[in-house]
Amino acid sequence: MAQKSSQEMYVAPVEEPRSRRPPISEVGLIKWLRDNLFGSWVDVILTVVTLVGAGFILYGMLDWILFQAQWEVVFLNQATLNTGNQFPKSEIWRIELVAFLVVFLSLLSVGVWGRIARGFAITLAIIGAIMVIVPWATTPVEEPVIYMYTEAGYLNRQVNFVADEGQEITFTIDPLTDASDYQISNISGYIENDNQQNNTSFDAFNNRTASVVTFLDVEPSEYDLNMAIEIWDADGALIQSSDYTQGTTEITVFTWEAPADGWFTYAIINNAEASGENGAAFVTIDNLEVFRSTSQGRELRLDKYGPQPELDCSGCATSLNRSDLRFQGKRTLAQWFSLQLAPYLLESRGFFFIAAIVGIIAYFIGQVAVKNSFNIVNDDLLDKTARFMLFVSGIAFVGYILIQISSWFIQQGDFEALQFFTLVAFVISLGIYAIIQFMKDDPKASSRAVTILWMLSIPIILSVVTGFESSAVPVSESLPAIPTGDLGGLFLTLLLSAVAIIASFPIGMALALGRQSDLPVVSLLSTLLIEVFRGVPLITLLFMGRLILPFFGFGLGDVDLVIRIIVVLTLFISAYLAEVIRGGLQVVPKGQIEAAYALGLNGFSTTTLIILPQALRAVIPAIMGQAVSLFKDTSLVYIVSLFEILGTMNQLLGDSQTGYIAFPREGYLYVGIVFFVFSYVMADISRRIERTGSGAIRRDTI
Amino acid sequence: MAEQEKEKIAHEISEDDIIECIELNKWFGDFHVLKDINMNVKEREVVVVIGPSGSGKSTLIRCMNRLEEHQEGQIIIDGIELSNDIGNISAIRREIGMVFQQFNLFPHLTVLQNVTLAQRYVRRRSRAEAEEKALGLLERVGIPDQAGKYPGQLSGGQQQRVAIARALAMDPKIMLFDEPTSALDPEMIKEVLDVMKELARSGMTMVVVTHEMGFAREVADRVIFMDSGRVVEIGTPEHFFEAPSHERTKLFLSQIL
Repeated sequence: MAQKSSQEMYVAPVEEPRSRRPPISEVGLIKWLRDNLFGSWVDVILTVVTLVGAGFILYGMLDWILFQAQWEVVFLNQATLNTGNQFPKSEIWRIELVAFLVVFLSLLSVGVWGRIARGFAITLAIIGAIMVIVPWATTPVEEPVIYMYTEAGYLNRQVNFVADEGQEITFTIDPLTDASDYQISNISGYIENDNQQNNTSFDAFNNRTASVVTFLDVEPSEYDLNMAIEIWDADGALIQSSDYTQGTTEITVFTWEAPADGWFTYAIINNAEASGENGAAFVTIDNLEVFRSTSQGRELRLDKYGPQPELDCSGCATSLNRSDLRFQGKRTLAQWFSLQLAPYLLESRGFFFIAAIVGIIAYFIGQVAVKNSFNIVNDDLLDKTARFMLFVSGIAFVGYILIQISSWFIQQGDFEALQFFTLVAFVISLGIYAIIQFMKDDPKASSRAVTILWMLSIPIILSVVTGFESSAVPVSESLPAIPTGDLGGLFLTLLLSAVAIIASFPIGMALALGRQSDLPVVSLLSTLLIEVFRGVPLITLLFMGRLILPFFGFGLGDVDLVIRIIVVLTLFISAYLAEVIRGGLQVVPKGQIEAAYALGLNGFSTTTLIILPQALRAVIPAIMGQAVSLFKDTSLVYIVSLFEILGTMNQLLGDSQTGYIAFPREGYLYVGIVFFVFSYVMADISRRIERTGSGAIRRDTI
Repeated sequence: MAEQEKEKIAHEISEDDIIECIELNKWFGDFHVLKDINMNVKEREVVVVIGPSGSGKSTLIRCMNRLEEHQEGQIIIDGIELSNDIGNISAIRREIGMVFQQFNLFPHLTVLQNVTLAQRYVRRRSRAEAEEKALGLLERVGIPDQAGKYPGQLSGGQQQRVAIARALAMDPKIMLFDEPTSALDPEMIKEVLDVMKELARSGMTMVVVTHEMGFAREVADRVIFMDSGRVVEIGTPEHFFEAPSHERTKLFLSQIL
């Protein structure tokens, strides 16, 4: 029945109209695109400009990452970057053990708490597939050749290198007859470049402006190089030499086969009698290994080939790991896969797969626990055991603290064994308690047990990594002490930030509540602490931790530097955290406190049960922001001579022996990626926590 | 004789009056909010406090469980005088339940946790005992199936009923209602009032600040009318609504009825 558009009276029919789907242009991708990207002309222009800009940047980045960058500095130094330069290489298994422990606990937590399992599994599976497929499908490609620039009458070049028996090395003297010979677009390989940081000499080649290219004006017919290659053994005795070039522009090729494993030297020489005067050439060297990892690689090299021969000339290269050999030109994609990606994947593959298996097992244990499939609901004996174990762990903990305190006062005598045994008793008893709780028929008990296990992991990790000095400790042989000053790399970064973030949480809360306290002394003291630690730059605080604290006496100078720095970082972030949490406290409505009081809750219960949970939930993003910020700030500890991942990378790049000095871009980009990945994971976890519990409904209701 | 009289008064107070306000005065800064308030509430009695906005009704009942501090006079709850003694305050708060205009449910806890929290931490009941009690009360206020939800997922009326259940869970002797229906949509007011009526019938001592005259007329034993910080008139609902004595009361009633 058609209805008039204007009606004075209307009564709706009894039956409600049926719900329909919205028009197709109002849902899904089309709607999204129209709303978000092409809403108006301004939007269209912005979208197009942004996409084009992003495309250009991305293209440039990828072009460099795939075809020009030299990633050896990253993938040959994984052990160093993860554990630091000073960490004994024979003890790296300890760090790996710690990593597996952390992976186990993480995935156990994921199993118990659920939620992120799917995305996580997909990511892991993709990485795993890449790790298997890429090295398998990649066809091996030879290293690009090495180019050394030489001129007639120029200083002789002598370079040490290692070769295995039967290795064939081809030297080619290729006269540079016209400008295109110099150009990067025509040559691709490790090119000697005396200016290590920039492309200046190559730009000069390309542009033909600088003095180095004046030789180009020589007529090719007048070329008079008179150049030859000599190979010496480790004692400096001549093994073999090529013929001299005979004043021509022709290419001279010289192939040499190594008679045995060992060090050799090649020298580019001029004919002493008929010294060449005209022309320039690239000496290209094929099938020479350019890179070896740093200290570890050097040790391996020393083992296999013995010490490097001394060279008796100034300005000559001591080895082929010359700092000025730098990859220039462009790779093919095949070369990138074979020489850059595949070796990296092969290097880290074993670790990844063990970690993946550990993680999968942990995840399923967590899932089983949370679905109550262990089926030990009301076992009286187990309950009693659990309580007994909790009791034992309490005693052990108190004992440990007492021993620790008395060791400070008594100064002498060997307390380490005693400490070790109480610690073991503590870890084992609390561990058993946690496991029993974990298997209970209650997801919350499992969840609490996981928290306990995480807490237990801290003493375990520290003991495993730093080891034991005293021979009275039974495991001191397999876990010899490693001074904390030798810790470094990514491990130190994570250690510093994890401990500081966890420890700063209760301190920050205490300071925030203290600042709001009614007692003027408490509030004044909290305010003072907060303002002092917020008002001083972190670098200054770190210097104080290292240099000034020892002058305060109380044995502060004897306290381990790493611990002092952790304390400084903790106090620093606590001050910021306190202000963030105070902001949260002010968001909690007064009515909440009144309701709690009206129910008879006392001040302490009201604070811990009502105010803090709401205040903290309100400021989760800000708290996580502080955590991320501290994580990045740990890189500042290099100024107190601790070397976390950035410091370690700096050491690697700065060491003239390693040959990585020319690759800062690759090194720093890698460090940046590592920092980003961890920060992103932290931010993601924070977003997920926001969406749990009562936060899950906040989005729907507001 | 005088002794005897005193004893008699004391006897009367302890027997009948569960709340006694004597010469109560309160200031917010310089502002005199409550002026010489004398009132009492007997056990099992329902007293409704009405009056225009800003007359001090809410402040009065908030004084009764010390959410506001009074500066002069005495408040005696169940034989205990309210003073700065923290022990007294918490003893009194344990006996008094309060329901707020804005519900003030704890948004980070589920309905069940809201109702069990104080039982466990104040009354020290076991989890099972507290949950049993809570579920019983949720049943009583008519929302047994919402126990697992968060307050934000409930309607206003449901939230206020949870708030009532939360207060009842502490087994209070007295319930204070501070404008319990003022923040509710008209459709939801009734469900809350029904719960309150049921509570009154069960013999709970109640002090209710409200603008619901229908409720006052139907349920109240006595009505207290307040204006600008003083008690203007106290009487039974019949007296109050049909034959008010004071001019101010008449004016007030003529404006709202």
